[in-house]
Amino acid sequence: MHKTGSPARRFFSGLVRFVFLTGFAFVILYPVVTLVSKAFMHQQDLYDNTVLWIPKHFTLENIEFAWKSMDFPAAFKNSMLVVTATAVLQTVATMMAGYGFARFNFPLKKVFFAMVLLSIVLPPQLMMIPQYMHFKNFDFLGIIQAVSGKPANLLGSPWPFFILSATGFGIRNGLFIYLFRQAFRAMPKETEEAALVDGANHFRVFTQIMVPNAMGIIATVLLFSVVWQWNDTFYSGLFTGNTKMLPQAFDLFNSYLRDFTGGRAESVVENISRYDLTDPNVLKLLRNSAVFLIMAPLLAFYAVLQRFFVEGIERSGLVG
Amino acid sequence: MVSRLKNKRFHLSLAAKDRLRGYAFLAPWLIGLIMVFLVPLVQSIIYAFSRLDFQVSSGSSYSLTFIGWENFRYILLEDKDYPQYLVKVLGDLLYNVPVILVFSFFVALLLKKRTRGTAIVKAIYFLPVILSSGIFLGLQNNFGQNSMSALEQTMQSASSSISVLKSMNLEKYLVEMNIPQEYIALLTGPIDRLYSMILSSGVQIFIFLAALNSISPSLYEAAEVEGATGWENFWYITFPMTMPMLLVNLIFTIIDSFTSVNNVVMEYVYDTAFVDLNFGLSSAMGWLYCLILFAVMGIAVGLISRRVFYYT
Repeated sequence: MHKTGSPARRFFSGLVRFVFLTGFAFVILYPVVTLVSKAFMHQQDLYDNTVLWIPKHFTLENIEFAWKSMDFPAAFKNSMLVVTATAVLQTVATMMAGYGFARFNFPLKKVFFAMVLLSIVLPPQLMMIPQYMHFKNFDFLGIIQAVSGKPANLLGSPWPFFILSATGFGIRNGLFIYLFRQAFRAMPKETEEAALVDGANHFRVFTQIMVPNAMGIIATVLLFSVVWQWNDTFYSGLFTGNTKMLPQAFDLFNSYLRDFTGGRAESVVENISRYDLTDPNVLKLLRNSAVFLIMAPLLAFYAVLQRFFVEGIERSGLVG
Repeated sequence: MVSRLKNKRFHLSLAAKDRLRGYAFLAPWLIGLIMVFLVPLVQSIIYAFSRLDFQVSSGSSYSLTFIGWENFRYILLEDKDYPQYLVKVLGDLLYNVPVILVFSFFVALLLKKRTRGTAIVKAIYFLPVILSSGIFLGLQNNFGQNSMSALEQTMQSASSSISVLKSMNLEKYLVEMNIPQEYIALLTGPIDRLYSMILSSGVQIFIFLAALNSISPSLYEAAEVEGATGWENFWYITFPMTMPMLLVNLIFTIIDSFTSVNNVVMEYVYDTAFVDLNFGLSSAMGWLYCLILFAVMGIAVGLISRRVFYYT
């Protein structure tokens, strides 16, 4: 970047920039810092005015409480299974569709692509009732009916997630198809043609030339798919039923807290009596530690891979 | 038999092969298109014009009665919540979209200059995309906790982390300056919504940033030779060159806020279906909402796209 203006002016504009950037960064970071600090804060620090962020009484009690009362390991396992499997399935399905749209000509291509755009724009709530009923009485071309006599109920299993992902209709998959199409269209055709002349078939060209060249966009799609699936409360609420994923575990946690407060439930956790549950700030502290447990894996994931996220959007092919 | 098939394929024209390969790559998506997209879409249109009655005795079976426009008539004329929520969502949209667009453009301009620590700053500004979780937001705004008592909620929001970012002092100050109440609300509104605004402009900032970085430096060099000021640079180079991305961001912002799960209309649609078990009514609400979304998007895109400048 070339420099313009007098030194004083440059200093001033730098200062303005610095003030705004740190100010907004503070607003973004404040809730995250609070989340982390409260998770390790003993309840007696809540009313200590000398404690702002760094707890005087460091404790793992809150986390232990949240861990046990929402049965974190089980919910975490379910969520992990769904998130990793859907990320891989979505990436493969949308990549193939994106390649199909980018490189081949076939009848109704424009109509199909309009459908992709439609799937980006339409709110998923429009399809939720038929999808819910569909997965409740699931059948594919009458095969399941023929084998077992009645359609299968897939609610409560991870299958609805897998089916939606494998067919490229998971969370914001239309956008992924669009991104892949843009990325593949931008690649030179010559390498592919050379490989075809050398006798490779189209599938091999796809897996051995196009996919390795699209690693950047693949990483972006994988990462976004993980983040959106992890944060999703809509589909998990719709499909999981009694099998818990993290959002349901959090609901369970909240209802435990309510029951404890009302004196209705037996405590699953032995140290519940240590907390003064009539105090809303203590309730908030406990709820905070549950949210911390749910968000921590995602934040760690982001901390390690943040470079790929930022670069990913910048070269996503949306621009230019 | 096999050899005959092979022969036949061998004689397919190039275009026909292209067609087959295209469909082969699209195969999983095409199955999905029919099974989990088009069929549900048509079903939900049918539901919107029907009443669904469940037979509890016989498990999951239900009967469908066609009732014409009755659901829509009910929503518009009798339902007391839906029109109210709809107006609220539209009002928020009208207010939020310009604010988010201006804000994210501003931040992108600030982030454009490369200095030491840019990578870390970018990582922080990208964080809102990661934090877009209903659960995390619930902790910040106390929504989705209807089960709490009113007292609990007030006490919580008083101690909530966001209250730190509210403009209490500014508001007091402005009142003392005898500025009319309406103008104060206009001024303090964006500050009170600063957090939610920043949270919903994560992707937009980076789209603008990419657009800014793709402007060729030679344009600025030429302008400098001609003696253009920074102000002129901005309005005659930076702004027109990023206009196409303004359109993209506009569409993204509208869709993002319209389809968000935390949107009151969407919550109402969900509850009508799964709490009141009124599937027909819920579908009708969803479709009405969707038509309004298309109308809003059509107007917004129509207004902007005529002014967009494409540099080719």
